[in-house]
Amino acid sequence: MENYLANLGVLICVYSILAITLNFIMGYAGIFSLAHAVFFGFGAYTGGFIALNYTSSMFVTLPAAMVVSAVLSLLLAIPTLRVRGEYFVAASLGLQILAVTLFTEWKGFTGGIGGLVGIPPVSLFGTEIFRPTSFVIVTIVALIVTIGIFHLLVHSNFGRSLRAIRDSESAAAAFGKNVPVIKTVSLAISAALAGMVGALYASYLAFINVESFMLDTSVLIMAMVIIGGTGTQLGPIVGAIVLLSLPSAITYLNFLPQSEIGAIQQIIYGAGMTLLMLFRPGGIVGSGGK
Amino acid sequence: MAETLIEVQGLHAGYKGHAVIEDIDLSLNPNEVLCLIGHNGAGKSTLLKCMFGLLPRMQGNVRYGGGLTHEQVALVPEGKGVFPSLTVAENFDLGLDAAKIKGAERAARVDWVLGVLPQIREFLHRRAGTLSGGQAQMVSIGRALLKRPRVLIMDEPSIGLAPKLFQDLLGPIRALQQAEGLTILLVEQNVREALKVSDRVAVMKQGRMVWHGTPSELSNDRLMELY
Repeated sequence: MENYLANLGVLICVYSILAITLNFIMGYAGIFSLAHAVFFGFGAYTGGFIALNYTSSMFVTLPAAMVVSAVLSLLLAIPTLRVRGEYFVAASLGLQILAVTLFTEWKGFTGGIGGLVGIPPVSLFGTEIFRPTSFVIVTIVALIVTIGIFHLLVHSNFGRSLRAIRDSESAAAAFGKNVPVIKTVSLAISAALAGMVGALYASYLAFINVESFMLDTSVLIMAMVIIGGTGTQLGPIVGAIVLLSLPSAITYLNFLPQSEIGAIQQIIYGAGMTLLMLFRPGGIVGSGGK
Repeated sequence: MAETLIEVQGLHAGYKGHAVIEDIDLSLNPNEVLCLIGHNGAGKSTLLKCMFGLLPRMQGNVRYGGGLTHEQVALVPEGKGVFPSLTVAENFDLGLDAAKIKGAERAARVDWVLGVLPQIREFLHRRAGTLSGGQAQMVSIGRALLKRPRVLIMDEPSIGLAPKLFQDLLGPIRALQQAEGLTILLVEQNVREALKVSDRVAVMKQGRMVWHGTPSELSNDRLMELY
């Protein structure tokens, strides 16, 4: 039971970080990305590849994953963030589809469809952290650091510029803000931290393959942000807790036919999201009005 | 006589090679309120953009005189132009950033604006998106004043405001103009209210300047004829 709860805690922390990083660009900069799982995935593969071949020190794997994901985000951002938002959504969807093919086919880096197996646990000052009860502390620390970073960013001049851009790009430009540069930097920061948590995720599971980084994952992260409350600091965490705890909670309802649990979860998700959009479009934490 | 601050001569300007305004002559003198009126599509905003340097001219000249620089001209855009998700104080911060004002001077400028428009103090920390139309317009004007301009250009500030509210808004600006020698170019469709605070009037119609003079010279019949 202890390990089960610690495992759930690790997953909630990992997805909370992903939701916070997506919320930063979606909620504060108005950039709707369907490729967040790609940055998460490249971070995971980079961390896993380095741990398997060189070192599992988190002082190497995490920064490397951050750099790779940030650089990748620039490849998406530089050509697309100068144009209107809907083009970015389409481009991010294209990147997501392309990345799945890459994850599947680039066997030398990703292990292909079989993925990377036997990734060593992350090490901190030579101590390997592999037990869920220990790892959950690492992910809680990572979550706190992430919350701190984004809290500072949102309340800085940079965050103010982002919110101004979300309100009106042309007006922000008239106030001397370099809109494409600010949007590109925000995406790079978001992708870097998504990559960082990807490396942690890979070392925790010891095995990763393409199935963790497909479009479903990008949509799940977006759902966490929307359900929790876009543009709020607590919302993404609440969204992650709700969407990850719900499946676990449903399995404890013994009166439900266990063979139909999957279908019941889908019905509850669908009904829940519809009701939320109707009665609380700002999300659980966001403003209640329509 | 003091030198003209902005002199427009034979100006032609427009979009995608199509002239929207033609052969415009206009002068803006120090310490006056010049009201530019005309129907929708008369070319007022296009002229304003040229005067503010936001639109290239096709022909003619826009000359700044009397030592006036672009940095000393402030624009209050049409439609209030506040950022709704930012607080009023954050909207002011953006104005200060744009004017490149740093350090202790930032707080001093905000205090000065709050002295001119003291009502803003009540909602300084509220999100601009929650303000009424009049409050938002006041914030937009206050933000433009932060750079302590010599010339304030206001593009249809009365949109969405009741006449009484518009007069309440312009009262402190008119007082500031008289106290500190501010020059104002007021672009308006709400003619009657605008004329009450103006020293001179210029009328545009279908991209051309058709009349200019003082408000007292503009009789109702003449106004109907020009409009």
